[in-house]
Amino acid sequence: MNLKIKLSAFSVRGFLKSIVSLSLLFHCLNSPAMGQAEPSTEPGEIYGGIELTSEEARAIALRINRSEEEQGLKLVYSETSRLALRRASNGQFAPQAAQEAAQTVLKLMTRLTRQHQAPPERIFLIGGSGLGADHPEDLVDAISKTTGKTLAFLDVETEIQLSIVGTISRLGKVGATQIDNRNSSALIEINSDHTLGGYQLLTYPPSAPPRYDFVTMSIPHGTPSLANAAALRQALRRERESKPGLVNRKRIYLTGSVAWAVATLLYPEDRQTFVPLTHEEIMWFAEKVARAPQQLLNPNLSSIRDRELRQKAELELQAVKSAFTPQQLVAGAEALKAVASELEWQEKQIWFARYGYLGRLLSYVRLQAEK
Amino acid sequence: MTNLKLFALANVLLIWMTNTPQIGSFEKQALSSVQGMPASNFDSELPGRPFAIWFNQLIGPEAGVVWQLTECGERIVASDAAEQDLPACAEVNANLIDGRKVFVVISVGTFKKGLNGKPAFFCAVIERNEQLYQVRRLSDLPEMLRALDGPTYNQTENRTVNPPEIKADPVRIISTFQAVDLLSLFSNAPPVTGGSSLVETTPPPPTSPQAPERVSESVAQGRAVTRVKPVYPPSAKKMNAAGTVEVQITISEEGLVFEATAISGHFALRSAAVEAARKWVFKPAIFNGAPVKVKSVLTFVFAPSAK
Repeated sequence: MNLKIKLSAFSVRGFLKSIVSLSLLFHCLNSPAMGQAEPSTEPGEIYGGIELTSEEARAIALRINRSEEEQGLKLVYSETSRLALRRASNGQFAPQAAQEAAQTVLKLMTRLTRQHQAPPERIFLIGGSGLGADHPEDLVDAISKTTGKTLAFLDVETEIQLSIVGTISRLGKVGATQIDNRNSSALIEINSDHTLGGYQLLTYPPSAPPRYDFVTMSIPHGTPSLANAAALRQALRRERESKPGLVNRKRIYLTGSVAWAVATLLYPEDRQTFVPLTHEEIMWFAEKVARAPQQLLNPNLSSIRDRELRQKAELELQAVKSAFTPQQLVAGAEALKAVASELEWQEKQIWFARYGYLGRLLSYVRLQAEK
Repeated sequence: MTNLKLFALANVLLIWMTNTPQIGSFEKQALSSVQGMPASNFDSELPGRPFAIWFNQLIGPEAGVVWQLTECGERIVASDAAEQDLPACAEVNANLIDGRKVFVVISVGTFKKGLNGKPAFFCAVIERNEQLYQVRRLSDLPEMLRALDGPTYNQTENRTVNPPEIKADPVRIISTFQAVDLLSLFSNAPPVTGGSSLVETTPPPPTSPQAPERVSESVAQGRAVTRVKPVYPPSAKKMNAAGTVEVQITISEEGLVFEATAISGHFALRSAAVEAARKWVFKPAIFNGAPVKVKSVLTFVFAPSAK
């Protein structure tokens, strides 16, 4: 069992205090300009961001308008490229892997500068915590030599905080009434090898003014397996003891590759930014995928009447199939089931946040733009 | 001897279960206890109405209110680090129509011990224009809300309105660029209500969806309690009709099919498929804790071998 628990409750990076009310940006993600270049006639400045993880390079361009008349921001472009940045047993990246990552970053930077007019000084590079806490020099050097940019590394706690802010909107609607959404919701990210999560909390220190904090959890659980799902359950029980909001919060925003696979396979036709899921569906999925993974991996898309929608669903389905073997899907579903049962999701509102994977990059770029 | 061990084990389990409140039931107990308690219990200057009623009158009927159990205060660490406990509070937060937020926090016990002692006022906070104002006494809350009223409030106005009453120092929590109306620039943004400049997207659906939610066929199949195969119609047999028929169904809150319409397939097979679909029974779909109608599609295969 290679389970390691990192407890990080009630700790906050100082600079993050300034972004606790960063806004959810996903409603602009359906912009027709997404992923395409478009001539710029709108006012405002373009900022770019590129995030490297061990599997992907993600790029975004944000238009930020500070004029008195029309303040605001808009996501004008996003793109994801596959990467293979796994470390070798000696702890080093393969030379070609670091070089390939650098070339990918260069390609994305070129797109940001030429097609979206983002000045190089307004493009920010971040490295995910999965790339290593030691800030691998070989990767930093390769990127620096190729692009002239410095890669800033995030620790896992900062990542979670940025994700919460970038994924969960401050306000939500229940019927016609607006409620405080972020302070009553939690974020859970389930990937193939780790489960993260947390929530924003208004705290009342006895000798200091009230302030917004973040409570976070990070549970690496290694390569997906049923044994690791059992270990995950134990870890979650410990986490919920010290972080009761993980259980008490009534609205759950799900991100990560496992949630993406589940939402795509259950609702291939649903292209909403937030796909509602239920505890029962999660349980059903885990049981079904264990018994007949092929059946779940090949849903009948012929009932989707809209041709364009069906094509999108087919593409998404292919992406899920290429990302998960049936065994990995079984283990991932088991991890999701473990989280759902240990954190008592029976009566909760659960959404898969389709663009949650961009949440921390959006938050980070916006934070830099404010400096 | 074995019986004695079992007895001891049962006792240990009983004690453990008694001492470790289930969070769900603890939350329900704590919230209902606080909601029904006279407001005067939390501050003698307040009326004897139940706290929830007093609070709702204070914030107005259009405010969005969330009640929840939350951690408050510092951790309680016992000599054994594994035995640390957390103070538990009932928190009500209200989002007012002018964009302000109000938090009232009542201590109720601890997460391990459950309800413990008499609930007591812990803290209240008003968030306005991205600043937090602490309210030290619950009876100060109405006054502070009045003093911090109005969307055009600023520090200068505050000093001229009622400086001595505002004893809370504002705490800057976010930078100036936050107060941006994000929605106004998004082409597909939902409409903003309430006039707040801080409104964002609203992923949560309404509590009771008016139109039935759609669920995929695989989900519907997984929730079926009774499945009925269609009868192969003799007329279709004569025509040598075969293939699949898709039937769009609407499932009632009770799990019964009350609408069924064939949307594809051979016309000679459609009525048989619809008739079969109407006999299916499903586990009721639950949304927001209540059963709801859902729509789905059932696909029936009329294979030649099944004729």
